Amino acid sequence: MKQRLLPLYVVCLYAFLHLPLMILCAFSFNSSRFTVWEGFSLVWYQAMWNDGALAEATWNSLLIAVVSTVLATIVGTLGAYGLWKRNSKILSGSLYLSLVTPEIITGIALLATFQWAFRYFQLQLGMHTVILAHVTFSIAYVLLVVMARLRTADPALEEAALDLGATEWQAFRLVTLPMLKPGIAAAALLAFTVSFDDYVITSLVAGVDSETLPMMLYAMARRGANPVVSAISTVIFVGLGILIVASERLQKA
Amino acid sequence: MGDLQLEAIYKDFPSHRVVDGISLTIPQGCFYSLLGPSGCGKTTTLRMIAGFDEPDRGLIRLGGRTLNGLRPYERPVTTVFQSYALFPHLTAAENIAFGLKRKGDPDTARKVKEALDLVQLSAKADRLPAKMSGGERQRTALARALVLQPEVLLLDEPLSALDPKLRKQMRLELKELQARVGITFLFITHDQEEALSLSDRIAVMNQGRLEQIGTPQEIYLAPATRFVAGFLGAVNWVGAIGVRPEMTRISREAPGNGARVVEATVSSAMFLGDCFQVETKTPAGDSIIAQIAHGIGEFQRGERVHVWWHPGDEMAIPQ
Repeated sequence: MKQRLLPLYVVCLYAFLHLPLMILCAFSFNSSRFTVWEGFSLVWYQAMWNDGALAEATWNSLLIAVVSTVLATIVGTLGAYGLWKRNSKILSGSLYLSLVTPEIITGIALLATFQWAFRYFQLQLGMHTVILAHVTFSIAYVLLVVMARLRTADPALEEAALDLGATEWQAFRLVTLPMLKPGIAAAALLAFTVSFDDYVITSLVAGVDSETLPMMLYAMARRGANPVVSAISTVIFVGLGILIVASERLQKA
Repeated sequence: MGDLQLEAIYKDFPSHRVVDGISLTIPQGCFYSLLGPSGCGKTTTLRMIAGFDEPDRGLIRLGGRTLNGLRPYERPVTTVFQSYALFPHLTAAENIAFGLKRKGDPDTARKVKEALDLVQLSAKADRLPAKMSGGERQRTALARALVLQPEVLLLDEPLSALDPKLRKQMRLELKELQARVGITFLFITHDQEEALSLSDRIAVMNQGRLEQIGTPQEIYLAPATRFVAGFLGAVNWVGAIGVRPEMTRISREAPGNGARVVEATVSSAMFLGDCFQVETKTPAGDSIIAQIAHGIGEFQRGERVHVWWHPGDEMAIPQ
């Protein structure tokens, strides 16, 4: 009895988790515009491919994700290293605060900060504010992933390097950094996905020139069921899925 | 080159004093052990010599040169860490080459090869630490520290991560290695058997202070304090007199003249394989344990016996 129920339970659980996405994916290959199956077609993928505005939003999203990932990874890795050295429970514990802060609050706070700063600098909302916002919320993810790696590291490694004649900088560059590499790569992939995904904060701090893919999808979806949205979503889902799997692999390495 | 000298070293941690006025001289070329229970300050002492910690007071000198204030990479000492601290992304050969490369040694390749030969690891030169056995890691760590030809090699419980059988084998190798390279070894351990079997001299530490310094025989046979006597092996205390169980005899008849005798009752007798362990109780309530060889006969619980020892076998310790 137990042996029969368990697989059934697993099937139900996975269906609950993944069925909506599978339906979305299925309809992206439907030749009809409506939620009635008419036949297999790649017409929506073709429409997606030929949409100029979509291409621009994708480019914006990729640019923002890459730049903010690079910055957040550098800042986050150095921050994690510093926190590890200092070994402060309060400092590292407070990191979780930025993870549990509702996105809408982070977004509003960032918007308020930008608007306050704009009174002193001749600037407007745009790509740079989106990138800054993304760096802000990505840092916590990078910090946590890199710190997880550091926690399992032998604190004697750097001392061993110093003992063998390396300066502090050489010990960091030649021993700690290579040891952290898988963790840093995993952190960067995670930062990339959270940046590429983000809608709430981005929509608050974006300017006219910085519409991202999630923003555009949201706008399109609100106008009604659109198989192009399904097609884009499927592509994003598969792409990010690959990144997440890669990140998991790296964390284990 | 020269002797390593610690002069009145003090080190405080926020909660307590870890090293409380230690002075000792480690002669050049000596296999010297710092022996003590965990938390006695021996590892902190090593860390101050290596330069990972600085003493609050006191001087560390090596052959007349003061090491205080020098960074670890400026000191002519190297360390074998308890965890070995091998760099996980580097092979055995690369780990060993690490220090030579930092110094820009033009002879790195040859020296690495020699060091690998010295610890019999030539066949494993290209292995990553994760693919090595415990003993191989230990030998890599030794080679990595020795290849720099330090004036003093610091060893922080280097055998404690190995299984008991391997530990005994590595003990032998370590002793031979030290004799071959002639470098001063400062060996930190809490294992009295290790310290006794390896060392030329042993300094016993307890609660940040030195209890006794001497040869293995001296500290085992003539301990200066009750702590040293008890830390180095089991002791039967009869008032201020201590006797080791292996030197304690038991007989049914009174022993001959000259022996120190206590009358007692057998409370248990156990067969330990290489000997019998007989526990007795004196009328005064002291428990005396004797380890006796086979053939002396078996003793039954409740039997009245004479417990005795030769006068030279006792340890008289000032209270």
